[in-house]
Amino acid sequence: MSSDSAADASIESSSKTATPLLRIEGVSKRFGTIEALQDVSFDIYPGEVVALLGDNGAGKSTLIKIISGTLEADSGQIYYNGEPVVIKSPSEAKALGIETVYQDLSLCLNVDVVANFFMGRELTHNVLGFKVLQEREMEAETEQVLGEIGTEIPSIRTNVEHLSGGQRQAIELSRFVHWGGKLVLLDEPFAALGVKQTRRGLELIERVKERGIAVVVITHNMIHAFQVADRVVVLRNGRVLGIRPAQATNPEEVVRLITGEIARQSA
Amino acid sequence: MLQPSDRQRRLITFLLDNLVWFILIFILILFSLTIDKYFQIGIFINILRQATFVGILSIGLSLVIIAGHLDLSIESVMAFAAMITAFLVASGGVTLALGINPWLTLPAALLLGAIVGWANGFLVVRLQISAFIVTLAAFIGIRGLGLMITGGRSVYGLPDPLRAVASTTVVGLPLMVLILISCYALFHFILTRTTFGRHLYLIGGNATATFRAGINVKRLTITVFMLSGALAGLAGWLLSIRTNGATPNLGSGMLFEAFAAVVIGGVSLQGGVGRLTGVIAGVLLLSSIDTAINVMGLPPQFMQVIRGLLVLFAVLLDSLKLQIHRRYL
Amino acid sequence: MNAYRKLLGVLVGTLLLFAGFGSALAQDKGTVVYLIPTLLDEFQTESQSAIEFVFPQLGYEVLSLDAQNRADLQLNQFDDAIELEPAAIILNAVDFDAAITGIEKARAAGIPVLVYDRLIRSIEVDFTSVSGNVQIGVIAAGEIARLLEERNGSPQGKVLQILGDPGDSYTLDIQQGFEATIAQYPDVELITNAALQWEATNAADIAEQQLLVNPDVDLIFSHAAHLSGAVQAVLEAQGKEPGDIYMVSSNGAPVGLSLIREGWLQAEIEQPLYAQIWGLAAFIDKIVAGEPLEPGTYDVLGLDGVLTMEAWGPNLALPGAAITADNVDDSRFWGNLQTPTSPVVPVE
Ligand SMILES: Nc1ncnc2c1ncn2[C@@H]1O[C@H](COP(=O)(O)OP(=O)(O)O)[C@@H](O)[C@H]1O
Ligand SMILES: [Mg+2]
Repeated sequence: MSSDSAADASIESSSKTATPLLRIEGVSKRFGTIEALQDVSFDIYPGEVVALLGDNGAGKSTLIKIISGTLEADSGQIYYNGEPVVIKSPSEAKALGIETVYQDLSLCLNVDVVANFFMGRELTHNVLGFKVLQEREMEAETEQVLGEIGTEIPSIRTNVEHLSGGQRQAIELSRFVHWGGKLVLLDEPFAALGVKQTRRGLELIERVKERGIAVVVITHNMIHAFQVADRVVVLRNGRVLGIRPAQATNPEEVVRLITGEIARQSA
Repeated sequence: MLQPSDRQRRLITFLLDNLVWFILIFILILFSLTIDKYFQIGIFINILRQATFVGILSIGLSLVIIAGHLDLSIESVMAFAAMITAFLVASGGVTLALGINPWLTLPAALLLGAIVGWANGFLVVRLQISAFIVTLAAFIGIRGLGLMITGGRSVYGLPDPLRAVASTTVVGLPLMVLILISCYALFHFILTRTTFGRHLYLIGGNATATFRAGINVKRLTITVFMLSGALAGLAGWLLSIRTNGATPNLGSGMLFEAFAAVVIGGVSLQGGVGRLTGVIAGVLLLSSIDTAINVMGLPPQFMQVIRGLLVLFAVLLDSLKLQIHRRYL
Repeated sequence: MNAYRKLLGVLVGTLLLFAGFGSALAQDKGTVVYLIPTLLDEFQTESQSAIEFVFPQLGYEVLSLDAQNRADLQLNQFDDAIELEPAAIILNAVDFDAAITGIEKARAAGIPVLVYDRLIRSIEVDFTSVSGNVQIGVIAAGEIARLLEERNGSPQGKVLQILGDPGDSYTLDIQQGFEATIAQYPDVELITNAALQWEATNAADIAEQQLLVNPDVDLIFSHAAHLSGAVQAVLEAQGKEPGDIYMVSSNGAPVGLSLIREGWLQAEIEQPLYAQIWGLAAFIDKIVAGEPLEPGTYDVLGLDGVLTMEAWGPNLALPGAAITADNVDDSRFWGNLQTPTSPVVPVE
């Protein structure tokens, strides 16, 4: 519990002194008649882990996609380091230092682990105007990162289609650990993982947090959520039902919020 | 335990990946042994030279297919570029017979192809119409456009400097063949060694993931259609030189040859898979068989049947490869 | 005054024609539907221009339909044409056998069917105007024998024959006439290849291959002039001069005449495109009126057209002609693209 109180302290100090890394204000999104998000607002501070909780269809993935530039909000405003920003594409999000692991994996099965790991960030040098790939450097770096994370993949030159579900998710996780700049968004990152790998995944969240990176993690597993989260944000039918510091609430209360047994309460 | 199996695996992968080459070599040996006068340098040069047009078309087609789309317009773009080349500078038939520098026809042909490619790409990316429909429309429409310009008539008699392209040889190889080889070398390099090539495979494998990784999928898609169009323009320019003009049905049937070559060469129509080293082997395989049939004086219907069987064989081979991979590697 | 008015009439008529208002002149006698097999062939394109030029002069409106080389499409066009209740249908068939159902339907509906260029023997029609492709093959063989004699002292040597599409009976008819005649010369060795779809690149490929395996070829006979165009490009690329290898082709397209002027091509057997159409036009009024036709010899654009009664109906045969350097500029050859100005003389 010592780490919890440490995080606690950092939140209290940062919420008082620092501006939030990301502020979401009044964001709404409709898909036809479905109101996926309605007037959603909350803040994320540097080095903070926020668990985004809610039942299926609550709007969690939609919110993540809006922050990561994959979807555009209908209304509302996003502030990044206090500045209003419009994130129009994933590349703009990445430029701001936002790294995302999506619920449905974002891997290209037809290429190898290295190509996936460096997707969109290939190391190159210029040859007669061509951006030529630096395969050896990329291979070495991928090897190193996967090694640090402790993922066992027989050969990083095999195509991802020949890897297991767990190995695939491990590549995704290694990407956020390595590339996570300031904010990491994780949408059900442990869905395909075994017990051991999940524990390692939770450790990875702790590790990036220690580097001062903020994390938003979506999970249906309350134990996982409470293990890593500093605060929990509960969504229901596209609305924020509650925002609590993790130690000020407990899994039972959150479950009742999620299922609607507790009506909307102000945070 | 791991070491030998790894080596074996690599060997099997190598054999599977280059199977078309082994088939090509086998067929060439077979023909050389059984067909009188087949085994001579001249015949092999002819095989290469005659592969120029379908070969260049197949590069563009491969790029587009690897990126997960289709381009049916290439044959018509090629024919149209040939028509425009002849229309601008030829001396006989329906022609403007402009006294311009004849080399200007090359950028004109390339530009024309790139513009058509841009339009294809734009419609596919921005209006989200399927590439099949868009490029089918272009295939039909652009052939018609060529007919409109010349009223369905032939154009003939290119200026001497252009005709020289057909007769020039460099160290024993026709210039056309060198152009073909250079195109393959260049685009093989681009596909395997550059970010652009890498991104084409990524888009073909999973466009959503590629987009999420911050890669500008739309721009790349339009670019690949433009490249395919420009290559078709180049093929058309060379074709008009080869035939010293342009006829209304010039190049008809080459789209399907290019498709056959690309599939035989191991490019998956699903996108994301394939290499130009395989494609050129596919092109040469078709060209060798055509040559054999011409030299033997076999009824030309044989060509169609053999090509059909080859395509079928290639597809079977592909699924066989996948099974071997699943079971043993 | 009279001449002035005539000139004005011609001017206005031409203007109307160009503006696509040819129909304004033609309401009186009804429509003639022309079913064209393809427009990817210059001969066919020119035949359309000629028909659309001639028939309005006689008071018929012309509707041309292109079947894009598809027999099924041509049958649909037959059905559409019948609905229009035209005065007559001129058929230039994609496929002889496939066209039969269409012919039967049209004639059952009382619409006369005239066959142009592609002879159909298996069913009776109201009129046929052909040059006889077999005949063209025969003329070609004669020319080629003459050229070989000129080249080698006697009719002997090696001839490469490049057919068009092997599925097209047009090329097969020429081949039949050609091979039957050339067989009379035992010292002529014949090699035959086919350019699929009449595609010029295929002809170029064939010439290139054969020159390698049979470098002693004396003469290349292509079944269409545009194939000769591609063959010439190959010869030139190999550093050959005009006359090094003789060339002959058939159909008489403009590129063929141009090759004759340049000396590459020694002879072109032309199809009498214009005469065939003038022949159709000369008889059209009688056919539409259902009057009987007289067998005999008729003068059509200066050629002797022979009308005979065959199993497939009245048949007007027009002789093809060999074009050489001596007569290449004669305006009656369609390859010179000078549509004859002589008016159609309807048969009395
Ligand atoms: N692209 C879309 N088109 C239409 N409806 C969508 C789309 N994406 C999400 N939705 C709907 O929006 C709501 C929220 O979805 P989502 O954000 O995926 O929920 P969660 O991730 O919390 O399970 C659901 O009702 C879902 O059906
Ligand atoms: Mg979700």
